Amino acid sequence: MWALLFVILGCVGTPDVVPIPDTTARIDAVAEVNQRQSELKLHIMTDPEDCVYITEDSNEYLAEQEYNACLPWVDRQAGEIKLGVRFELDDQFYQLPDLNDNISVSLNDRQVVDNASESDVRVVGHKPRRISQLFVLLIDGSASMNTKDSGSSKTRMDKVRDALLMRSVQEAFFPDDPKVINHVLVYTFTSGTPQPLGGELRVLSNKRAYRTLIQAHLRARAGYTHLYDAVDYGLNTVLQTSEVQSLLDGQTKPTLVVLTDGFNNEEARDTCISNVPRLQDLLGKIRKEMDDFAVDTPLIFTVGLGNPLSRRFNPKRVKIGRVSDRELCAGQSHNKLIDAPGNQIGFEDLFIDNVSLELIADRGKGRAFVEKDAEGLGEAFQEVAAIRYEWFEVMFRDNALKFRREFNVGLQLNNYARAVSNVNIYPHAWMDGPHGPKDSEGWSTRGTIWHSASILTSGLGVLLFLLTLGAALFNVKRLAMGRLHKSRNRMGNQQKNP
Amino acid sequence: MNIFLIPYTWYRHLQFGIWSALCGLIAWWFYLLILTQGWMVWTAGWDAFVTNGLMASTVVFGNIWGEAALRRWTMRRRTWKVLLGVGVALGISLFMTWMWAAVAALSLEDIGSVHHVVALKYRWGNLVGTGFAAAMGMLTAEKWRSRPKSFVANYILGGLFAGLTAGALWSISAYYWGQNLYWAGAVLFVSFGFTFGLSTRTIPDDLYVGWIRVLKGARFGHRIPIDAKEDKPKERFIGAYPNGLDLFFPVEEMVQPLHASIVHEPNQNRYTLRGLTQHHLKMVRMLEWARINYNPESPVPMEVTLSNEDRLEMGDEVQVEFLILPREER
Repeated sequence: MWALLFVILGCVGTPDVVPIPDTTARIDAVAEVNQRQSELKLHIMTDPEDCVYITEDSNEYLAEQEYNACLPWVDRQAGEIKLGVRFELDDQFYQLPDLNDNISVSLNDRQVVDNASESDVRVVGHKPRRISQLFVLLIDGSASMNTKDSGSSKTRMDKVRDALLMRSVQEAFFPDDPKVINHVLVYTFTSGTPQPLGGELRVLSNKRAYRTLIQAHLRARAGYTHLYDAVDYGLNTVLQTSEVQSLLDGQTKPTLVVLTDGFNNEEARDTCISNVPRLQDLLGKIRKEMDDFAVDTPLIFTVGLGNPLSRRFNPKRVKIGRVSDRELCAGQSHNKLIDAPGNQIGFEDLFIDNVSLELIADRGKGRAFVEKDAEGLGEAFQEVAAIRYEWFEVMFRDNALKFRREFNVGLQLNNYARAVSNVNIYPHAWMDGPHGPKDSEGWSTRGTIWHSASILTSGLGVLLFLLTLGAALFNVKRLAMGRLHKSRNRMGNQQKNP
Repeated sequence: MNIFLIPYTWYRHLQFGIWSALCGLIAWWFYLLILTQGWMVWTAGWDAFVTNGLMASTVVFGNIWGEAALRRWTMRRRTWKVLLGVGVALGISLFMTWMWAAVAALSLEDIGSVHHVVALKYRWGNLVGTGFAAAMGMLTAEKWRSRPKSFVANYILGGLFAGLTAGALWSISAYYWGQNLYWAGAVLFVSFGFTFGLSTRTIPDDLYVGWIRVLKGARFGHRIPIDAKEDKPKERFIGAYPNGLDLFFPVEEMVQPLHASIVHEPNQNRYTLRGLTQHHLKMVRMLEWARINYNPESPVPMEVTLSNEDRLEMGDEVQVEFLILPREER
């Protein structure tokens, strides 16, 4: 009767949850994807079947490792949660580059701050893939690129050239993988229409041609910095040319890379405020382009060379179509000229407009980088051509006491595209599973039942010992008191017992 | 549980506690196996019942099976007793779980009804219910006849004590020893078993019987039981008569023809030494001794109550000891 009641009541209102392997917790069988805020589907892999699917083409050893990394994991002692996630577009896998620092995690709607002491977030990419890319490099060729910054013997353009010619950058643009076919187009821009490097459009398909072109023709010219126009041109003109369209076969990702050292500056009297409507207009165009986000939708990366105007700027906080003076000018004087005449100091002499760059990259599903030297620029270029990963392991830690009831974990992609999902985790109120040792970076690893088996066997050993301890002590005591041996008997009478 | 491995010392009172803790540890591991290996087929609302029911039924099983082993019950008898006890424990666990859920929903704040909250404040009712369920399970399997009425209260109070103690240790270990419920889960099961076994049960005295064993003299090692049966007192005589006495000593060893006797009163489980001679007769135990030679001016012989391992000097050359050993000892 009890069993029947148990079964009946157990089946009533069963929420759609699944147990997390090797833990005592449960998790929603299907994570909730915020459709309204997502261009990509951020799929949190809660079901072991998901993990079997993504690891089935790996070899046996790797598959087991990948499978374990993919499964959700909860360690309440360390206050750590791990989730495997992948991104999908139109039900197809969508690979993304390394997302460390690009995914924010929230716990019960409060963001987990990545401060490395109490709380921390770590994202590890899995199943690296190279994808074919068409890079359109739009490099600022304005007069300011001839500037030698203090403490440097090289002009800004020299630094850009050095970065583009770095072996690692060349390898990133033209990898040795025969399955990956990349192409590079290089433009420079000042005033007016951006010009192909070398005077005519050349589609570069190998390192030698690329190296030759950069070495021979990358020079700063004169004129203003028509940054916004250059982005618009790259997006709506260059990518629409027949030469480019012939290279886009549906599998090749067009990637716009814009490099500048200053502000958008179209006229001598331009101030920071002048750029507000222009940027608004550009972001509108980018948004229109990105509305139908697809595999062949271009990505826009921006690279700045210099000191950022606003170090704490967060493009996510700027609502669509609502760029304001305060944000774009970062609290600086609105009337200050960008390019001040004579010995006067303008915006461009001190800062780089990282606000515009961040907004353009954010709306263009890419990333913004602001660097000061050739090495930093090189790393940024490598990032642009980075390896893409098929799925990611998202780990975070927070105060362990926050996991003492059910909790909601929200994940949000901060760059490349909008993707928001959340999942509920339901820990057991009475018990926890074993946890494994820490990995080299101090994150807890999956525990196995063998750990608890070792506790069981040692515990049983102790308890069995205690069960027999009474008899042992009793006999030892009698032995010590001489009650067991006749030899201790001083009488010495040797008659036998009847 | 083996009566031959349990001497009649204070330590025997710990045996059922240790045995129940052992059963609890095994139950913890199997439960953990079920939870972590994907066999958790019930919903979160049943977590409390499954956990508490398992604790109660494991302890009931361990205690009944332990007594069955001590008393050499037949397999049939031990099986139906276990089934009865475990069934009642599970049933009452179920009842208590939902009763506490109702109490929590009515009298605690909303969080009290959440199945996943780890806090003793919202769980102590479950643990008290577990102790009560284990006590009731044991009571249904016990023989009530000829038991003092206090044994019911003893079981119930012991069950409540076990539930609360296990809950306190569970909570303390989860906060101060490890910030998680891995070790705390083991502590919960083990401590519940130990405290329940310790507070409600001991090795029954009727499984033991007193013996007199010769320590010194020609008949070293010889021993006789003082095994009263059918609840009637039994007296055993020691002396130098070669025939008719229960324990005979050669007259050369200066033991008198009728030197002493030992009386067993089974209802009180008391062993009494009576001095029947005017010659030397002395009971010796640690920091204590008593001469009980017969005093001709007294109308009755002198007596002393014996404890396990007391030493008796008889005459000048003979020593015997009083031992309490398992009744099955031969």
